[in-house]
Amino acid sequence: MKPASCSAVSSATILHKFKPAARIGKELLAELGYRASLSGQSDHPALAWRRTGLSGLSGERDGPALMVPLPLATFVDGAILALKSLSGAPENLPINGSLLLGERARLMNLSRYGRASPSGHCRLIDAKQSRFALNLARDDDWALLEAWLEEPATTWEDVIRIALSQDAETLVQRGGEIGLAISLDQVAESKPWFTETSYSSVRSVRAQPLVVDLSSLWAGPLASHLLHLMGAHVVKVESISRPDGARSGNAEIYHLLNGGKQCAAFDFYSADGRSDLRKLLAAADIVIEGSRPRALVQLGIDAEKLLAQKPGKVWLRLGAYGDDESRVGFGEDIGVAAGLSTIMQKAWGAPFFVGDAIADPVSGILAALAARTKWQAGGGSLIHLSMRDAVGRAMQLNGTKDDWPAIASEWQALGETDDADLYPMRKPSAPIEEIGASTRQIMARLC
Amino acid sequence: MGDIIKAGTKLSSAVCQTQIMALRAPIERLEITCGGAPMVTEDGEKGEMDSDLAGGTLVGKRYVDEREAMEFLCTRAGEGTVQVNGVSLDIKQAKQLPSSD
Repeated sequence: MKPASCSAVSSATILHKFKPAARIGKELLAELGYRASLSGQSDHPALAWRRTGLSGLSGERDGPALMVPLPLATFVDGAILALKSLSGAPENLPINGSLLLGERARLMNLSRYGRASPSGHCRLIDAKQSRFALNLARDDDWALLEAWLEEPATTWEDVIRIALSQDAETLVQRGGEIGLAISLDQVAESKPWFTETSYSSVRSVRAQPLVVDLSSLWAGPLASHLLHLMGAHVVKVESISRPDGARSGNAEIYHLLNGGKQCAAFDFYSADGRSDLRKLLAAADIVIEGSRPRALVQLGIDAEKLLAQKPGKVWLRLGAYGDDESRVGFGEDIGVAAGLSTIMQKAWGAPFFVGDAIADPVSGILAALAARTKWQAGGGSLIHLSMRDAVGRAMQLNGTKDDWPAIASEWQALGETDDADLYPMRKPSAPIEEIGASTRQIMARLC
Repeated sequence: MGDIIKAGTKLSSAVCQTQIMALRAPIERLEITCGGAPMVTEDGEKGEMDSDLAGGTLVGKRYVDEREAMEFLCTRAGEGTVQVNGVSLDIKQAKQLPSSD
């Protein structure tokens, strides 16, 4: 008989209960309508978190690295176990899910900066009574500050000073409305991590899906990368005038996430470009995208119509907030919106960021699992994945009784006495293509 | 004629559903119209649109003048064309993505 929960070390103290990875994987498959029994080992969440390389990213810059008292690593280990159970060649997938959380931070040598995120773009800021996270990841975001605050502001210091006398909810509401990535630092109400609309399915699916990925940065590309490792043919689509920003970021992580994908690029401003894009989307078995709905409507792309036209298609949309699709978010501020920094505040007495843009890899892994499970079951599915709620699911809060300081100090000790190697860094699976390198070849094959 | 517009000010069309927010504006009096009629700070009764100025606005898009001295964000779409001092505004290209997030 399997225990419902386990603890890694036997001692007289009562350790925080957490579910083993195999059980999480089974639960996730069940949530996606799939029954399976899974087996597989995983490390204690505290040990796994240290071995991702992320344990150095929380805490004050000149203070100790602080443990995250949440079983996030075990959660994604479970999701990868579930993905492996669906794969004919599970050995091609990463040895666990945890290492995916930390590989970008390790390649970029990121560090901790207290209330600033390891990437430097996102900050935790005090307003009059509560706190919020603001992510100024795009250069253009700085131009919005004055309209947002309704007084001149050009630096973080200006924002911090002005926000202190204002109401956080108003600032977040107003900031979201003008397109800033901004969120309240609070534990979000628990909501499903995806919603589904069903369309016509098919009885049998082809050996491997054609995945068309319109997304950029980390979450979406990670999802299509995992599908690629399972054998899918992946086409990465970019706008000629607006390529994936990750191309100009760290080259190694870009290579890891995009190796082996064919690249197509279209001129989204021309009728021909949009028509080619629609043709490609019509042929896709799985579409992954991270756009706000209006962006696709403005391009003349109608997901519902494409789903109705081709039975068996799976369309997966990654959104920051499932309940408000017009709001933007990035990995760090979405993690804060789920409640990660609030838990750090409860555990350590001060709010800190957790991991590196954590909502991205967590959502990317779940997106791959959802898309693959639904496609394998015959498809006909429009999935809206809510990144905030994906992180919420990964946090596995089970009530308000948890003694966060006690769990944190116990896990901190486990982490500090762990002398195992960090999880191995992966090697890219295949070469990358330049933007649009395969457009002609792909379009010729469709005709 | 016209008013000095502060960044953050919301303006509504008097002839359609369009609503815009000033992100950046020079400190000078500006005549801001939509569909030919002056835009207002309070939503209200709708008048008639000039059919030559019915180019439409797209929600979420940023609109700029030729010199990019001013910039507006469309917060609600409508059918009218937004003009400043008699010159139509153009859509600004989408924000470049960050290299990491």
